[in-house]
Order: sequence, then C-alpha cells, then structure tokens
Amino acid sequence: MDSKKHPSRSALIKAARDGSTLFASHLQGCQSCRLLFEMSRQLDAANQEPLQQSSAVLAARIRAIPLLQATRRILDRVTGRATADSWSQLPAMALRDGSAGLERRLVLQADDVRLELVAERTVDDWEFVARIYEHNKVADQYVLKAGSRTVVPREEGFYHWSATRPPKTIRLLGQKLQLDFEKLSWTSAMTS
Amino acid sequence: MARREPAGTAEIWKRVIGGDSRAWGELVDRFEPLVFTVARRVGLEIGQAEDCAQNVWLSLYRNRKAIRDPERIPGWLTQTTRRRAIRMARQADRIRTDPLSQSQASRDVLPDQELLRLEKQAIVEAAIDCLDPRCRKLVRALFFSDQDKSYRQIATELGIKPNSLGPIRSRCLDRLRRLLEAMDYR
Repeated sequence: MDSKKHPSRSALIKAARDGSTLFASHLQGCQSCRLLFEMSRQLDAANQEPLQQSSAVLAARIRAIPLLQATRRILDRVTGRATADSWSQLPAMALRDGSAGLERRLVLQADDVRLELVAERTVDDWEFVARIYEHNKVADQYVLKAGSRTVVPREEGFYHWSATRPPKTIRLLGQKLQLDFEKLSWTSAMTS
Repeated sequence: MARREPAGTAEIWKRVIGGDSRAWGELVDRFEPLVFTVARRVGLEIGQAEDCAQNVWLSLYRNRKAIRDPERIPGWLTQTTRRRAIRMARQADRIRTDPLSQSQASRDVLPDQELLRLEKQAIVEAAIDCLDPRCRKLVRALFFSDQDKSYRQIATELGIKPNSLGPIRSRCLDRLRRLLEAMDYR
C-alpha cells in the first residue's frame, strides 16, 4: 500500500476499531490521519446507543441532595413578609371570580433574600414559578417549602411546581438560615 | 456564571468534599445518565429506575467521607446501581433466579465488561457535550453516524466550505482529545 495515500475515513475508523495495523506506515507520517485513528479508538466505547436521560425533575432532586441533607440541621430563623402583591391592587369582586387564568404575583422579602413568585390558576390546579434573589443575584442554594411540598431549584434557579391548592406557608431552607414568610391568604380565589 | 473547564473525577470529588455544591452538580451531570442507563438495562421501569438512581446518589453523598479512591467513583456508581436495581427487579419478579446464585445473576444481567464500557461512554458523551455546537455535530457525523457520509456532505450539513473542513476537523478533534485527557479518560 502506498503509505502516502490517505485511507478513506471509514477504512481508518474500521481499522482503529478492529485493531488493524494496515495503515501503520501511513499513520507514522500523517498527523491528521493519526489523530482521526486515535480518536476512533478512544471513542469506540461510545459507539453504541446513547446513554438514557432521566427526567429533569429527578436530575434537579439529585443535584439538590447536598442542600436537602444540609437543611436537616437546626437553622437560625428569619421572618419575612410580602412587599408586593398583585392581588392587593385588584377589587374584591375580581378575586371572587377564581376562574382559570387568574394570576397572582408576589414578592416576599426577608433580609437580603427576595422571593418572586408567580401563581396561576389553571383549569385543574395551580401552577407556580418562583425565583430567589440574594443581594440581587439569583440564588439557587435554597430548598423551597410550599406548605408540605419540597421544591428544589432547576436550571437557572427557577422553582416550578403545581398543586391542587395554593400554599398558605412558604419557607426557604438554606445551609445556615431558615426564612419563614407571613401566612398567605388565597381565600377569595378559592370560594368559587 | 462562568463555566468551569471540565476536570477529572478525583478533582471534582475533592471540591465536593470541600462543600462545593456546584462540584456535586458537575458530577451528577456527568454520571447521572450512566446510573439511569444501568438501572434501565437491568430491566427496571422508568419510575423504578429513577427511584433506584436517587437512592444510589443519596448513598454516595451520605458515604462521601468514606470514599478512599475517588477515581473509582464511576465504578462505584455502576456496581451499586446494578446491585440495587437487581434487588428491585427481583422484588418486582422480573428476574426469576435461584436465591443461592445471586452473584452469578448479577454478572449475567449486566457483565462487568459492559459496565466498564458504559463508564467510558459516559465520559465520552460528557466530553462531546463540552464541545461547541459545530464541533459536536462534526464529531457525531464523523464517528457516530450510521450513514457513511462523505466529507463534502458533512461540510454541506455544517454550512462550511469543503476546503475548511480539514482544519476545523483537526481543531475539534484536538479539543476533544484535550477534554478527554482533562477528564482522566483511559
């Protein structure tokens, strides 16, 4: 075989995977083919069906294990309150409607920690999205407790969950602090 | 948030022990598909496989201070997952075996050699994920496509001139090789 002539890509990859020395003399003098050959051999282990991905929810829970384990200790407690509430702007009759599409935006604040929450009533349940900021930067080091429900952060620090009833209590558990916010009333929207 | 350059398992583990929760996230991102795949390959349904995976990771975290050889963590993950998944599968009556021959059944269901290959696959896939999108597409087209495409076809698909493919290929493969080295791939 002419050692200067480049073998085809498929022949090179096959030789690498089979452990063949057919192109040994060419590879000695050709860096480009040698790199392709070596990479083919190295990557052969992955030349099967891709690994399966578990759900995003599971991945988020597993990533949050250190946080969930840390929050089992007794923590210093701080109490916070709502500093903004879209429902405080609405007339009472609008809240009594309680139909699907009803939305509530809340800002809860405790020290330098701010929780921004959007709650939306759908046909079947309530959908929630929250984000936590500490010193005005997104913080994903907290476990959010909405009633008895534990929510861990997902990508980019968003907390998602849904429930048949909105939570009366919201708590944030950090590594050193527990932040409890004042009780929330959703009564007007739940009368329908 | 600046993305950290990928590192070997031992280096990531050192940061986990130091309390760096982001390091734990890196480890999970790298090996969670491996754990889940092993659980599924044993025969667990998706929900069972997810339970198994969560327990395995919880066990790793709780026993983190007892891990003496962090480079062997991928092996710990696959062996532990296989063991737990088989136990769960037996409880669900998926595998009918003689209880006296449990260890043999483990190797039969998913042999050690296949576990090793899966561990390597996890690192390769993680390294490829660290490439920029164009390099990622190129590597997959070169090595993992079931179609034997010509360089010209690959160049067209990537939207580059055929003459540019050679240098781009060299750059991408070199980057991949360095990523695999950084991740202690052997």
